[in-house]
Amino acid sequence: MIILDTDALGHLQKKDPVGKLILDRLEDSADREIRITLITAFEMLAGATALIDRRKRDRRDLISAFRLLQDLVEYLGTWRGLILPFDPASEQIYESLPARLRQELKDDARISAITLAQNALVWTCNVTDYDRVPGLIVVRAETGQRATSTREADET
Amino acid sequence: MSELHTSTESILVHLVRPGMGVRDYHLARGATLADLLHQSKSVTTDQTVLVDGLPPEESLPLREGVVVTIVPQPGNSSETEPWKGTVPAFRDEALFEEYSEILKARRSEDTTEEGQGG
Repeated sequence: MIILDTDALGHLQKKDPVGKLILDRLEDSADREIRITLITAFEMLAGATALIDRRKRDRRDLISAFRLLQDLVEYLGTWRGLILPFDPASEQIYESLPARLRQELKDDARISAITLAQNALVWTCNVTDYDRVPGLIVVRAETGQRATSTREADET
Repeated sequence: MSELHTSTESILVHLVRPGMGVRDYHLARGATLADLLHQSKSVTTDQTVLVDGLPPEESLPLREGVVVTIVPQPGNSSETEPWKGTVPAFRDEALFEEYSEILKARRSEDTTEEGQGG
């Protein structure tokens, strides 16, 4: 199973040059179980609502900000049944990660925990951070290649 | 719904889109389907466009009272392979930049509760 992280999904959503590379790698992949996590959905929607709040505060155009929220809600609807939850197994793994790693990786640590709980691979453009998570298999989304581990002893 | 006009210089067209309901547009007489799609900022990728229930020519002038419907294509790739879908609002570069900046700022926030107690 492939889990796309928030950054990789953002490139796909925009279909920018990096997104096109990721799309090609996904097309090439023999693994057709492609998922996202509820953490990514949360980050995307929280970003959109924060944008609306900022524009309300600054008395700026709200129509496009609300349109962005609507587009994201509708986009996430297309992933129905393919969004992995942050469940008790994920929570347990998350809690077992070193405290410093949780503090630094924040929601990426939760995406990592879900990925580990699902025995899946995480596809990301942000290899450096994910590669610090013990036991996590990280794939560079632009190339579809497993990242060369630079994992340090990060378990202090 | 827009206010109704009876001017002979314009025509009233009804546009039906998933999640947006029916919206009325007043277009200049002789306006085409392409004009309507442009004015309404409709995205038709992976969608089927029907005029009064029939597949149209984009260059065909619209007539008064016509109903234009945009529906997802049955079994289109973005339904079964959602990673192929896009977020139309992201085409607005300024909006996307601001949204991305907020996402980054949220990620770098000092959330003191993260990692505590572990």
